[in-house]
Formats: sequence, structure tokens, C-alpha cells
Amino acid sequence: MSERVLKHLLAPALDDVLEMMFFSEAFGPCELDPSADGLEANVAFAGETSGSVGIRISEASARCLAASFLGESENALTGPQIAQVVCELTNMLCGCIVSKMTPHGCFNLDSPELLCRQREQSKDTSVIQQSFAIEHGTLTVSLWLSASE
Amino acid sequence: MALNILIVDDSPVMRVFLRKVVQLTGLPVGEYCEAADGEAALNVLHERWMDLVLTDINMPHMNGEEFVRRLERDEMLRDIPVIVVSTDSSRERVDRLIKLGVRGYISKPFLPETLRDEVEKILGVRHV
Amino acid sequence: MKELVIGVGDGGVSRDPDAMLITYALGSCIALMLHDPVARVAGMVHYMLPESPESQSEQNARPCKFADTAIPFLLRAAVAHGADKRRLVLFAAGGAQMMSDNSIFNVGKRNCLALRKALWKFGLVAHAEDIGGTVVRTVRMEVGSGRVWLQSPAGKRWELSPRTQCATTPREENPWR
Repeated sequence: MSERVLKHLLAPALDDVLEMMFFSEAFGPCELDPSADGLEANVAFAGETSGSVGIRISEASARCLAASFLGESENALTGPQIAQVVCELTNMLCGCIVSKMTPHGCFNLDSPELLCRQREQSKDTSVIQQSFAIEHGTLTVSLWLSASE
Repeated sequence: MALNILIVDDSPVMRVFLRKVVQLTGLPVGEYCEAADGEAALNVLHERWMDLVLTDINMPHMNGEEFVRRLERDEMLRDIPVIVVSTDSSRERVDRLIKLGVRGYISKPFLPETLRDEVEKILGVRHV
Repeated sequence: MKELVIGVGDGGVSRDPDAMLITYALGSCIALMLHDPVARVAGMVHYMLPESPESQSEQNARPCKFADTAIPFLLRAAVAHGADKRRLVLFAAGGAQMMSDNSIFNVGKRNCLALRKALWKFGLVAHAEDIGGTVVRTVRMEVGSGRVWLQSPAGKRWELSPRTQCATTPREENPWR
């Protein structure tokens, strides 16, 4: 599957996850902001295709989505709850992307990993990446495929 | 009579979400139990009766497929209805789990009412 | 039957079994309706936008204009009239994409998402929906029976029932793509 085709899987996968379980939406692609702060999480997958999916999300957006998911007010949420929701968002997004990439193949996902340290913007040219404008900020989705793909 | 529901998922916030969905049914629930993996779920089931199990697949220690396999081999537990709620909806996986006796399969992401309707269908009740 | 008209950005509750709640010309707006079949309480709100402004005075002035204030308003009013939240049957209609809405912010879609978000906060989802698409809808709800009918500008009428398939459902047919 070409990089262009893979990149075009990211938006519909994100739309499905945000609309169905977070009652929210992406407003379309936007420019990557290397200085953007926020929460980052990653999920590795293995199967017919292997690799990982990561997200970086603005803190305000993460709080908003966490409140929607849990049906709580934003100011009632704790940091750990928000982090757990970001992990679950990454988990579902990874599953959705991998299902679209390999609709007939079986796959396993590792547990989501919250990244405690802000990584430098990836210089890895094999990463497929897209930023999206969402409520109160941005969400960047990154897809890495293992070298054999 | 109040029902006991077991929710198995390694994500604490997903367990909260699933509990809210079960509450949509309006069914009288006596007890919600939770487990973060298949092994912990089996421990719960050996201690107390559950009327329904909702389980994820991708979990550490013991994944959902192995958990369901163990349930199927246990005479005391095999008749407990199980609904799988997972990111993996490949035909291969679904077929394997149905052969192991899983009664329902919901793919993440899902609309809350989709799982609500599945729970109602499997327990043979309807809220509206 | 006595007609109680709910205007744009307005809401109301009734226990009069001979009354019918009506709201007209739902474009991108959403009508949320509820009915308690035991207490025989019915309510309807017709909201225009998903989120209220930060100003408390603006929220208080028109609570039914925005999803995040309209829905709690309707639920509180219904409970105050004797409804039990656990018995409520919920219907939603509207959220169409209007031809005049050229922005990337599809107000109809945003209103639909805001509905789900606000209901989920109360541990609720609608039991029947007729949302999305491009059709302007008029909605009628009988207070006594809780039955809901929709009508298109062309005069076509249909009942919205929790036991029948809705005209558009978010899962099977995404009305915005």
C-alpha cells in the first residue's frame, strides 16, 4: 500500500473514533506544529502488517475529549484519567487504522504506552503523519510500519 | 432479580464507559465486577456467579481469546454469556470466538446504543 | 388536540394528555423530545447551536438555544413535572446539513454530536433518531401517548418509533459524507 493511500486512511479512522465514542469531530487537516505541547501515546501492533500508531494531542483537547468520553465535566477530571483516555483513544485509533489497512487480517495490539517525555518531532522519513484540527487544539496521528512492509 | 455483570478490559476508563452502556439498558444490576485481564477475570468467576461478561481481546497476562477458551473448557462457566468488545473485528478472529461460544461481538469504535441493544438481545430483555 | 408550539431556541414540558407539542422547520437545529409513559409527562426542546457562550448571563437568557444548556434544562423541567429519568423515552430529530451552510463547520452535524455528548453526561442516549440528511423536518409529539411524527416540506409523514429503523442512523448511513 502506498504512502499516499495509507495517509488517506488516517482521517476516516479518526472520524469514526471521535464521532462514535467521543461525540466529537476533526475539522480537517492542518499544519504540523513541531513546537506544540501536549500528551503523547503510542500503540504497537503485529500481524499481517506490523508497526505502531502514535498520537500527540493538545492538553486542552485531551481534557475536552476525556470529559466527553466519561460523561463528566472537564474540571472534575484528574490528570491520570485524562492520560488513560488518551491511551484508549490511541488504542482504538490504532485498531481502526490497522483494520482499514488489512481488512481480512488478524492482528494483536500491545498495551498503549503514554510517553512521559515530549519527543522531538520525528525525523524518521518512514513515518506517515497527519495533523488535524480538533476542538480546543490539534491531534497529530503518526503511523510507523516495520521495515519489512 | 438483580444481575451480576463482569467487565474485563485493561483500560480503567474503558471499564467506566462499558458500565455506563450497561446502565443504559435500565436492567437491575446487583453487582458490577471488573478485571484488567483474563486471569483476573477467571479468579472473579471462580468466586462469584456472573450473568454476563463483557471482555476485550488485547490485554496483558491473559488475552481475551485465551480467557474465552478457558471458559469454554470449564463446565461451571461455559454457559455464562460473553460479549466481546474489541478493536479487532477480523473475520478469522470473530469466527474463532463464535466457535468458542461467544454470543456477541462488538467492534471498537461503537455507538453506545449498539452495545446496549446487544446486551438486551443476549439477556432477552428490552428497555423500551 | 391542543397544539403547543415550541419555537426556535425554546423548550417546554406538558402533562396535558390532550396536548400535542409541535416544532416547525428543523433545519440544522435539533429537537429533543422525551416522554415518561408512567407519569405521562412529555417535553420538547428546539436548540440551534452546540455550545453556549462562556457568559453566564447569555446562558441564562436563552438556555434552550444551545445543546449544552437546553438538554439539562429539559431534563430538569421534566423531573420537576414528575418524570423519572430512568423511565424516559428519548427521541431526536433534525441536524440536517443546509445548502446555505458552506462552512467546514457543519452546524447540523455539530448539533448531532452535541446532543449525544450532552445526553451521555446524564447516562442517556436517544431511543429513536431521525437526524442528518438535508431534509427540513417538522415534528409533532402527543403528550398523552408519547408518539412522535415527522413531516417533510413535501408533506410526507412518518412515525418515529423506537422499534423501527430510523430514516438515517449514524452507523449504517453516515449522512455527512
